[in-house]
Amino acid sequence: MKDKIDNIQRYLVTATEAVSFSITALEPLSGGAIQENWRLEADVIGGPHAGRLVAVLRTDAPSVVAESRGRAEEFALLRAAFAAGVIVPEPLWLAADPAIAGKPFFVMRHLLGVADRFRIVKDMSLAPDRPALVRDLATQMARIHAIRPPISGLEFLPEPSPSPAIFWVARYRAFLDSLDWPFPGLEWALRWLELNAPAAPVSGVALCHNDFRTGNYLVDGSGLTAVLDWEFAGWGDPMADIGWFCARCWRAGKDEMEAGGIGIREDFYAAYEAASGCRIDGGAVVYWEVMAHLRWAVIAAQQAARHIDGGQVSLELALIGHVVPELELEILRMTEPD
Amino acid sequence: MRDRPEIIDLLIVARRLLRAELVPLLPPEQRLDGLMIANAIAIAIRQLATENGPLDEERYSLQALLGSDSQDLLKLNRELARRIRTGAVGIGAADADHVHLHLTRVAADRVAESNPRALCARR
Repeated sequence: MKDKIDNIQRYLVTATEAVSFSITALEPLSGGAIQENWRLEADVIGGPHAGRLVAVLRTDAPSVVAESRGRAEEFALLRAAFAAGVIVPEPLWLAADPAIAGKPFFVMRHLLGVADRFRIVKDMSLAPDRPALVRDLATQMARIHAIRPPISGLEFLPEPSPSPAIFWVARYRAFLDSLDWPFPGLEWALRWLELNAPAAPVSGVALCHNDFRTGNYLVDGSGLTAVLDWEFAGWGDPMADIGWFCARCWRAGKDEMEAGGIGIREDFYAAYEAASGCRIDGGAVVYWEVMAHLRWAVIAAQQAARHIDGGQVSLELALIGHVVPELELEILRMTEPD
Repeated sequence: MRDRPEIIDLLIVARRLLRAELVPLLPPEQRLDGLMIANAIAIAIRQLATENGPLDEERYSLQALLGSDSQDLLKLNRELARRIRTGAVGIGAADADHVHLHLTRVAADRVAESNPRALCARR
């Protein structure tokens, strides 16, 4: 650990063009089954960042979800979002070379706030004006969707063809095929998603966050402070983000609050339409809500497989496998034959 | 004959002790670990309580659905998954309702073991 801190300091003194860069604290932050976040405090002498620095150092955790992008790509996405005026932690420096700290990492500005979705849905002292929070989230999402290809630095993002929906159906089938046991309930979902797939958006694909939900943004006593976790972002159908945000599985038990467990769906739609100038297709959102449950179920099955196959023995991963049937039930309810 | 109390009773009392006496003593950052262990024990208790009932029903239902006399649950499920994907059964086929009902029953049985609270919330 001491060696690693020395290496990180050496790297950051150059990156920050400082005379000296002394780490005074490096402590793990909670949250993130996929990434590890560390609170980094440092005294910086000289250079444009001179003074006291409070930042977050983000690196890979031992378990990696197949869909998740690496740190260098996430850094590029965060930069694109920051440049487009989305409220995100300012991305500062990327160390793509794993030799420095054992794995790639990047440093971003530390923003205060709470992300825990179970706390956010219950604790009304956080973002107490909930209709305003709903509007702010819709506005941020619209700002993300205004990012359209081509964007310099995002050339690594694949074009989802023939359409975002069919692209994901094929991906998830391939994921299920890589597992050792069958999931007829999830196959039902995929067949439904295949037959009911919307065409590619007429206005072209947009940047989708792909994990925009309660739990992945920060709020404090006054409201929204940041949109986090950009590792799944990519070109896609904007309705997919809306479906993911509204899906029942992310409402943290507040089922009646269809907008992320924190607000009214119609309010979110109205604010999104006002900010984006695009009409929301309610039927398409329902489609993407089915996709949301399927996606979460596939990720859960993959997490369980990680434990079962011995890659990483973990009670948390093992228990995640047991959320699959709940998601199946919701999918089956949404896709009942006529 | 095994000694009493039976395994299920051992687990019930062990879980109760864990939740009531030990979890409150854990430092906050490990409380979730304690609750996860209690959750895992709860799943084990419910699986022991239902014995093989749900699995036997699932096998019987799969055999009827697929016209197979295989006893191998894994094989039967693999076959159902394959046929749903190709469209031979399920959505768009004549047996869509039947397959939907089967999948719903099996999922509900699994939820009853993994998280019965979710079933209650649904009702």
